Amino acid sequence: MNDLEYHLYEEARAGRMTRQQLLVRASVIGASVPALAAILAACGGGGASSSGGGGSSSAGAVKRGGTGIFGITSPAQDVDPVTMFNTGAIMTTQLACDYLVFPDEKYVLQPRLATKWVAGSTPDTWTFTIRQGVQWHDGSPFTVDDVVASFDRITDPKIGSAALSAFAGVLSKGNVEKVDEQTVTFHLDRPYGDFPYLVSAFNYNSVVLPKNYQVGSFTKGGVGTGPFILKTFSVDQGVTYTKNPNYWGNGLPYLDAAQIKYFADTPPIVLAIQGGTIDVFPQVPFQGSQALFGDSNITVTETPSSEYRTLQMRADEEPFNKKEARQAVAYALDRPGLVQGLFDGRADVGNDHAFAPIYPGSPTTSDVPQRTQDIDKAKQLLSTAGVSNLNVTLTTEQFLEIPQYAQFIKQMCAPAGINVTLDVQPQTKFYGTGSNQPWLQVPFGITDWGARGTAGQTIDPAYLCRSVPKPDLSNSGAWNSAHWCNQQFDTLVEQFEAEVDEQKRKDLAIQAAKIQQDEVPDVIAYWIHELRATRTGVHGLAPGPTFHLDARAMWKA
Amino acid sequence: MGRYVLRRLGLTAITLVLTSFAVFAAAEVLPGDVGRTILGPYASQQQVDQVNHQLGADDPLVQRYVTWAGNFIRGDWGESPIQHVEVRPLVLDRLKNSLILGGFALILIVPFSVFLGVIAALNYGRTLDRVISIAGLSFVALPEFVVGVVVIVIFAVKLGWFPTSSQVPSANPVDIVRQCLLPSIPLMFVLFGYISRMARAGTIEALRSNYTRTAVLKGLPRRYIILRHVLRNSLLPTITVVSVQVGYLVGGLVVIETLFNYPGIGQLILNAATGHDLPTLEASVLMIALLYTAANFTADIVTALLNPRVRLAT
Repeated sequence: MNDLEYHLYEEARAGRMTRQQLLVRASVIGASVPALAAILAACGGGGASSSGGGGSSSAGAVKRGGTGIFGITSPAQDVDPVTMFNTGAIMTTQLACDYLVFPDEKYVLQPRLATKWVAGSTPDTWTFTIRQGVQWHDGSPFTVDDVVASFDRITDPKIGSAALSAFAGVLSKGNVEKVDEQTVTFHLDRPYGDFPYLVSAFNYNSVVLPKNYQVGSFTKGGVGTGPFILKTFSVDQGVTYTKNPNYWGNGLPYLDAAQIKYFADTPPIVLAIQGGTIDVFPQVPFQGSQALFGDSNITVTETPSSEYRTLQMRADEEPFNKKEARQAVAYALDRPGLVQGLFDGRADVGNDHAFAPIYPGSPTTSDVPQRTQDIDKAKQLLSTAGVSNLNVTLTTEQFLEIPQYAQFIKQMCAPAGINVTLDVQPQTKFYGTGSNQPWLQVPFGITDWGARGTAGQTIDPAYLCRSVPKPDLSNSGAWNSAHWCNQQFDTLVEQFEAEVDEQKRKDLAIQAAKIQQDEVPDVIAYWIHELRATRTGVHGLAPGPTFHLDARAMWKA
Repeated sequence: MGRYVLRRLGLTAITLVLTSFAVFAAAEVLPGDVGRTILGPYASQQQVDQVNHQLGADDPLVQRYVTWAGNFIRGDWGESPIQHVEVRPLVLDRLKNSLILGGFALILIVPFSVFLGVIAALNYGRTLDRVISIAGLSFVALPEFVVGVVVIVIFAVKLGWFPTSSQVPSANPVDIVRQCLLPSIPLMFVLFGYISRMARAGTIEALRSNYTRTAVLKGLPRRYIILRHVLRNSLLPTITVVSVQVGYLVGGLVVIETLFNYPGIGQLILNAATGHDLPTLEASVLMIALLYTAANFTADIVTALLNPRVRLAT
């Protein structure tokens, strides 16, 4: 048992973590099976059984064969694993490609092209053992060189991968070392305890590709080590795949073929799964999909996630430059009411800090008391801030439940004396380009944030001082839309990210969360549950995490 | 007649040149940045500027128009910076798909609507007239997506007679009906009102005219009067209305294409506009304009053939 494993063992013995949290953290540090068994025994849980990961079948004997048909939102752009950044493109590549590790729906990391991983004495080096005997779709052998080349490619600023933002300040080009034919070591720019998440689907561009891969050639087909081989691709007609007969996973995949149909909008996908044209609707937005919940031919799985919305308030200009004004907005909102009204209960209440409940070791409401609606307090805070009647425009995007959320905010703020005018823009206009990106500029806005694997993956781009956008917005990947800067918070987050000791991590997270909750750069009112719909008779498809697709063990009755 | 056709052709050509410039100018002034769209949100401004320069996106507007129009006529429609494919096959393929659906809908809708419009006029003021007129008005008031969802839920989800998502049909007539019938129903709801009312109004006017009265008084059979004198005059405005709808039926079916997941040109135009895919946007809109002017031209010729006053007046 190494140091990190021992720290975790101590946490388990002291009863400070649940079994689920232990599994997640053990997967991050790449705990060995004997160590994991000892840790779980200390927790009182018994053996080292894996928690799902899509490998189990839920309805008796597996039936092999058939074609699994997925209905997803059209990627709109050419699909390439290196540059992709929308969910349609990501799911398209995930059927054909593998990552070093892959998170299951509870965010526990599972081995894929890496069989083991371990941090150095400080977590600024991470060593991964690479699976042997794996073949590319064209039959050539998969090697450590492919891994090194893949990470050099996506950390190369010239290539412009969307992963650059995730790796900023963590991994630079040329710092992935081939140790021997089975081992690679990542030399990080700074200690980073959650690094394995950055080589998982949560940093979706980190798929492993052949060393001679040419960016832009993915849709020609035959690229990857994954369970299915891409055969044809058309933005109109969708994508077809055949089973990879040489897949390394024992007996996987069960399906003979897979197919993706692209759709422009949610309603036709809902109708398509109801009519049986597709088997799976992997990423179901609650709004607009209500018909699925009452359909007896369809099963909708629900998993908690770290997807959320920021209700951001510019901390560097009127009217929200005083924290009391921001707090007043936070106290005006009825969060359980929002969760009910917007999602019919399919979300968790947020507490204005970015440590989502799904992450192990996140502060609970006993660590950081839950903020609840208090109109009198909101009024009092407004007068402390020196404003009695606050008139402000809330700018946001036409996307999923956000327009309704904005309506709720307007209504809930009114009794506190905050008069909100709504400006709901098309999504492309709200995000904008160049020096015109309203979401980073408006004094008061709502922005959608997709699910991340760790708190750091959200906090780094969204809340640190170095992520405050410059006036001309020239610093790409700086998404601190509240323009909020707190040095003490930054220091705590950096320590948190470098720390591997669970108790210290939790203490640091609590301190950082308290600062964020008190300063309220944005209101975090809810954490959305991810929904996935399958037709009756579809089994073995992993319900998550979030929209990520693991169809290796999927089969149709 | 020859002079008339030539004159119409000349006007059509001028319309097309003006339209192409308007399309180009409108597309080029759309908000957003081509280079940024291609490189995504993580690229630096310097890289974006470089791409804009490579694509010639920083040249003056008129120069860009001349280059673009010249290439377009030569058949070089450029490459989509978003989908990384040739624009010409992409647009022509989508246009073909839309023509199939639009053509099917037109063949279904026009005779049906004209027939009921004429029936209504012949029964002017009676119950049948009221039923047809009120039905037409009510149908127009129903949005396409409402009718679309209702027909999908009934005929595709519940009864399973048709697919929920329409593919481009094969040449097999059964397949054409299977794929195109459901998406055509909402279009019929939209167009039935317009076309049947126009046919009705034209027929009523023709029935009241002096020449019809003369024909009746000189004892011509009723069927002969209606086919020979009434319809020939009453359908002129209807033809104009139908020709105006051709552009909508081919290029404006965004809602229907989205709902039925049909790969038509309307969806392509919408995606190109929102995704800042200028070569695709310009080529598609120009093709729709071309089709539209062609439909108008045809309508003019048909009108002239039916009505000597039109062709002799010019």
